[in-house]
Parts: sequence; structure tokens; C-alpha cells
Amino acid sequence: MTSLLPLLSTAQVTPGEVEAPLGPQVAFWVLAALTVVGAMLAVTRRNLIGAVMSLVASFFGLAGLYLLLSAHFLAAIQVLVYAGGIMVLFVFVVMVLNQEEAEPWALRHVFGLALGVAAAVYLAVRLGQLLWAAGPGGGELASRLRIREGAPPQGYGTVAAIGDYFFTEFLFPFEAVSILLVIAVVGAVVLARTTVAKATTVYELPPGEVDLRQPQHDARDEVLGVLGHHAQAANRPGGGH
Amino acid sequence: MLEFLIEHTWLQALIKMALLILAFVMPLASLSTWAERRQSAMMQDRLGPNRAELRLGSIELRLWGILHFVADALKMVFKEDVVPARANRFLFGLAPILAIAPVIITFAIIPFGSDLCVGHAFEVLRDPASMCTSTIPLQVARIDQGFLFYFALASLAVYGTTLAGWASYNKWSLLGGLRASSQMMSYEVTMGLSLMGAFLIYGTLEPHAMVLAQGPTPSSWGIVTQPLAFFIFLTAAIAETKRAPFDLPEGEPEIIGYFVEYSGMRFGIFFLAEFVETIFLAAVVTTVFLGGWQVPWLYPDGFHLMGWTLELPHLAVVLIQLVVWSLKIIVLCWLQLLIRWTLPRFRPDQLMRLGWKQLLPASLINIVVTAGVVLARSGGR
Repeated sequence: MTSLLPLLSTAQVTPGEVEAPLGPQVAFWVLAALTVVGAMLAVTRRNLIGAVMSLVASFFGLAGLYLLLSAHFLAAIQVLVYAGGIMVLFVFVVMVLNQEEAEPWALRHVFGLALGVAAAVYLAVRLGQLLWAAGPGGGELASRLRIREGAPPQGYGTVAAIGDYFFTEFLFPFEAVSILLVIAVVGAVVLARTTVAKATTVYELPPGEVDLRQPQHDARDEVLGVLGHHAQAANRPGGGH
Repeated sequence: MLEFLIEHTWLQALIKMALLILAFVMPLASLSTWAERRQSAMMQDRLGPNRAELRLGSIELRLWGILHFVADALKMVFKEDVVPARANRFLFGLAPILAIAPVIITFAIIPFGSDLCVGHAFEVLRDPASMCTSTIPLQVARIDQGFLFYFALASLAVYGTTLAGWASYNKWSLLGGLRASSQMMSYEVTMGLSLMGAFLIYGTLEPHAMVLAQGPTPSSWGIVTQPLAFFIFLTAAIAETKRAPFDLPEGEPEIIGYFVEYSGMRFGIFFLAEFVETIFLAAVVTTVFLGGWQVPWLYPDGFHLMGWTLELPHLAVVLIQLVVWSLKIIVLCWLQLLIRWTLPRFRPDQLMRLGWKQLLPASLINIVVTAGVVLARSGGR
């Protein structure tokens, strides 16, 4: 597969640098638009399922961007874990809860307003910084942004390369993160089980009474059971088309 | 013409995808709708659909009712397309597409023949490595991630069923959608883990490399080296296609499922997606466990068996491989039909117990044992 890496050098095309081919350029802008628009719809949609599906679209855009950067493994995992795993659970929960379509969380108080303004200012400053650095006369940041020319190193982004990193150089962080996930799962199970354990109370019967809640043994049941079994065998679900 | 094709891999990919889907998958999917009804009828001692016929003047083409699928398709196309009044129209329309698109796209990673050696079609390939300078792979996309790509797209198929259930604005279809998503989420885990042992043995995730690693001797095929994984994967993958005995999400005879509000061709697409999924499952099992396009004892230059040799030209070898690959898939499709009409449906608790308490631990044990064997055979490095 040819390298699509030179793509990002479009931000600053100076003589001597390679201009990205048209295909990846178009792909980049389409995917970038999908990512940003999807993310914006996810926070503005009132309909929860609509919001979740927009986020899935955004994740798809992100996976596409990873592909353009030759990070194929990351792209596949992005779709598998986020779009196919976590977001499916989101859809599941939203459907089970079946919330009324409410107003999205609004900024009503001074605190919320201040937080919003601060976030907007921070975003604007960072974006401005980036654009300034990428423009003519950029400094240290620009050199970090500039993309290496040519093909990525041999085996870049493959399963084997990632696996090598996971089991040699980054073994400890990798294992630490997986233990973190196990802790979360065990915690969820513990929280879910405590509510079930309380529900049993001991109930004593007056002498001579029969506890009707317990199944009573009756010879007729066995006969009926056998008959029922035969009846079931005869009416095996065969329906269909 | 050929040089142009070799240079432009995207055009090659488009042609191969079109040929694979339009000339093999879709006809087989349509035929299996008919085959399923005929086979179920045979197993239940009745006739089944056999009356569709083509009349051209005095000639009557009946062909055991094969034309039934044409009649069905025509009926579905011309049926009224009903959308429930309070349904979410956008997601209602999107759901069938999300159900069928992932499974069609994933066919891109399935290798259906060995590489075509351009310019040597009628020669015997005695030394493929030096003779083949330009090749056309009989696989749409040869990507290093291979099966990861399949898992990623397969995990998206859940959206089709879940959204169909939700968007219909119907309590029964919503419940069906929930049943479908819980079942598919549970079995996806087992499905992925059951193949890990095979990945360890072949040392790759790429389907074509896996087929090459299995070679033309059946004793080194996946079903021999990974017998437990074969049964686990087959079970989990049948659960993933939502067909009996795992058909709780739709439960046609009584509990109705996520596509109850769908009519006409929108329903037809769900129906077709189910059959395309069975073919894809057959293709994956063939690739991982049955040697893919490999034919027993057929090497690039012909048959070799216990000192006996039969040399064959390259084109003949490839054609035999193509035919055998198709036969393997047809046999596996037939096996799925047989399972569907033999076993009664699971209860939801049995379904969850089988998935989480039996198949999942079994697949984990399979990984550990396989890893130990692979480690021991590599000399403990």
C-alpha cells in the first residue's frame, strides 16, 4: 500500500516539499468534515439515539484519518472497540432507559457560563497557535508539524510491529491499563450484586400448613411431564417461511 | 489490457469485488433461500415450493421450483413500502443498509484462489517464485490486519438490527432489537477469541497467508490443528447470524422480532443479509479451518501424491482451486441449513449460559493450550 503520509504537508507547501496527491487530499477533507460534524451533532442532537449515531459517524471519520496516516491497526481497533463495542453498549443503554427527549444540558448558572467561556477561549487560543505556527515563518511547532516525506518505515502500523511494542518496550503500561479495566469490571459486578443479596427473608409457617410456594411432588406431574414432552416433540417449531 | 489492470490495483479490486459479489455471493444467497425451503420441506415430509415455472409458449420450465426466488424477489419489490406513522424515518431507512453493508464489504478479505501468474496461463509452473514476476491476487484486499478488519465490520452489524427495532416505534420490535444486540454482543467475544489459536499457529491475521500456511496437505489444515476452535467458532458464528437454534431475536413462528414493521424490499434486505451472512460464515470457516482454496495434494505445478505426479497447466490449477473453494462453501452452507432445521430454539437463559459459561471458557482454554504448544514447538524462545 502506498504511503499517504505526505498528505498533511498541504498545510504548508514550500518549494522542495512534495505536494500530496489529489485523492488523499479529498479523502482528508471529507473525513475531517465527517469527524467534526459528527462530533458536533453528537452534542447538539436532542434525540439520544441520533446523538449516539452521530458519534459513531465521527469515530468512522477518525478511523479513516488513522488510515491516511498508515496506522492501519489503530484504524481497525478504533472501529472495533469504539464504534462496534462501546457505542453499541451506549445504544443498548439508551434504548433500555428510554428517556424522554429532553433539552440538552444548558448553561444556566454563572459557573457553567464561566466554564464554557474558558473552554471556548482555550480552544480558540490553541487553534490560533497551530494555524500561526503552520503558516509562513513558523517556529519550533511548525517543524514538529511538518511531516516526513516518503514511505513510512518498513512494517509501520502492522499488527506485528504493534505487538512487538506491546510485549517489549511498553509491556508495563499495557498490563497496567488492562488491570485498570479488570478493576472497573469487578467493581461493576460488586455494585450490581449487592442489591440482589438483600431480598431474602425467612418466613415461618404455622404447624400443619403446607408451603404452597414450594413445588409439591405429585405423581400426576410426572405423567403430565412425559405427555408434555411428547406433545412438544410432535409440535417442534417448524414454521418459517 | 492486462498490463493496465496490473498497474491500476483499484480497478482490479473493483472488478474482483463485482465478480465475487454479483457472480457468486448473490446468486448463492438467492438459491439458498429456495434450497432452505425445499430442504426444510424434505426434512418435515412435505413438498415445499415447487410450482414456480417459466412459460415460454408451449415450453414449461419448472426446474424443481428453483425460479421461486425470482417470484419472491418480484413480489417484494412490488409490495407496498409501509413506514409506521411515528417511526424515525431516517434510522428506519438506514437500518437495513447497516445490516447488509458490513457483511458485503468484509468479503473483500476472502481469498478465493491462488495468485494468477500473468503470462504463464498455459504453462506448468515448475518454479513459481522465479517465473511469476507479475501476479493478480484472487482476493480483493490483501491487508495486514485481515481478520481484525472482519471483526471490526462484523461488530457494526449489530446497529442494523438494534436500530431497526428502535426506529420502528413498536414495543415488540424494540424488544426484538434488544434481544438481538445482547445476543450478538455476547457471541462476538467468543467468536473473536476462538480464532486466536489459529492466528497463533499460522502466525498471521492475513487470510491469504493463512491459506498458504495450511498448504495442500489436509493434515495441516485448521480443522485438524484447531478442532475445538472449529466447533466453538461455528457455534458462535451461527449465533451471530441469528438463525435457528439461535433465532430468538426474530423468533418468526411466535415472538416476532426487530423487523416486524418492515415490509417489501426493506424486509427483503434483512432477509438477504441473513443469507449473505451464512455464506460469509462458510467462507471464513473455509479460509481458517478448511484450507481456503487449497485442494488436497494440488501444488502449483499439479497433483503430487505418494510419488505419483500429474502435471497441470497454471490455468487448470487455478480453475480447480476455484471450483473446490466454491464446493467447500456450498457444503458449509448446506450444513448450516441442516443445523437450522434439526435443532429447536434455545431459551434466552440457555443462550447466555452457553455463550458466557461454556463457549467463552472453552475458547480461553484453547488459546492457552495452543500458545503452550506453539511455544514448546518453537523451542521455548
